[in-house]
Amino acid sequence: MASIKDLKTRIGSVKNTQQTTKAMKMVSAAKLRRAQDALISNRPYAKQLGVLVDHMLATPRISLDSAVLAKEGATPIVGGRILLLIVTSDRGLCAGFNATIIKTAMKWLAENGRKYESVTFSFLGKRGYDFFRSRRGFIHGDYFEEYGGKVTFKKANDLAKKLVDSFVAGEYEEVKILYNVFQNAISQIPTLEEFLPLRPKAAEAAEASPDANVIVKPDTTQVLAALLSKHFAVQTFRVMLESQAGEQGARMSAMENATKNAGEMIRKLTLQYNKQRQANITKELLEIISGSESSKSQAAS
Amino acid sequence: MQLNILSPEKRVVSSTEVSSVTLPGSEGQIQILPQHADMIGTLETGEFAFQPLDGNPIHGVITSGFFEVRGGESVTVTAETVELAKEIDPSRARTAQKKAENALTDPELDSKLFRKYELKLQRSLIRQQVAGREVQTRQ
Repeated sequence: MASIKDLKTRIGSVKNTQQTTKAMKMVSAAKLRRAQDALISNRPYAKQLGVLVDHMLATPRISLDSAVLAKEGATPIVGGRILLLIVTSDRGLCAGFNATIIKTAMKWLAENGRKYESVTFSFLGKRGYDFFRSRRGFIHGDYFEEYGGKVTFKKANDLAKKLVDSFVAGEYEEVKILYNVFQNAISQIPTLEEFLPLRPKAAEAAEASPDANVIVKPDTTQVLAALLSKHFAVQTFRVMLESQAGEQGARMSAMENATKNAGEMIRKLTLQYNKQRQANITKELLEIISGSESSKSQAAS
Repeated sequence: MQLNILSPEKRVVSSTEVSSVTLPGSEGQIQILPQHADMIGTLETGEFAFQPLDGNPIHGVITSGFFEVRGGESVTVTAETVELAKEIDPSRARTAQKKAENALTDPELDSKLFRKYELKLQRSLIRQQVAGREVQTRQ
């Protein structure tokens, strides 16, 4: 059994840890709130831009010509070269947040890797990069370190431009993004999303009647160019916001759990400590009493 | 018809029943009435207004974006920034105008900065105009 002194130091150190986790939880809670607000207010806007793009693509009368669109007749799954952007956080201590993304990426690679001529992984966020840095089975793409940290629209815009440029230049036939969609503070859903090329959604296309027409002002090319450059930046921005909010949420709940566990541990250790102390006192008392008893009996005889 | 106005920061107008919407289209002002044909277009910086089914017309300023009319009964506007007239501070707009005007007098200004201040000036002028309009309708 641990000595009373050891127990005391352990309780002290657990208490210290608890204080740290508690502070981290508070910080994350504050950050989560901000990240969540930013995300929630951005979602409808991002969604509407996506809808607008879908509507333009689905209208048969509009003839579109853009390098970012899927080529006629290209089937979705069988592809040539694919780029997968893996979005994780820069820091740990956020429970399964990064682990689920990494697991999803590994699973995807195992299942779909062979369907492609080549698979390239690029990274946003240090955790994902660190994990895959020394692994094989895919081509190592860029680590977009410069776009990590605080999420700003400018970073999203630049990153989106890079992705679109590499696609248009013909480096990849497909670009997908793997990231955590923020659900609430305790749940994030790893999601694999198609980024490029753009495809008309089947549901939208079915809904549009063949002779439906849409007036486009000033003209299709201009509107599409303006819309697409905005669309990609805004979607990338949303992905970053989702991931950021998810990270803070995951960290907050992880730290809350840690704080709770530390509390439980302190309770157990304190109990043990008190038992030990009690036992010591009893033992000492026994010694004193038996000592005095024996001296008494000696005096009597 | 239903009007939605979205900006990256918030939903400025959400599912409001209106009888008319006026927007600063790239090719000039455009007014949309119920049963308008389907349409997608770009917006310039400028003034917008809409007439809710009940109450006074509402004015505001928009900086570049897109609009879509669908089915003759829904209008959706997505814009970089959206300001309603009641949120505009006319004295701030005036200060911004002065600042931009002063900056534009500098002969050394390069074309990029020139364009920036020109836009600033344009925005501050539109803001003052819109703010004035709201006061008129209130009286």
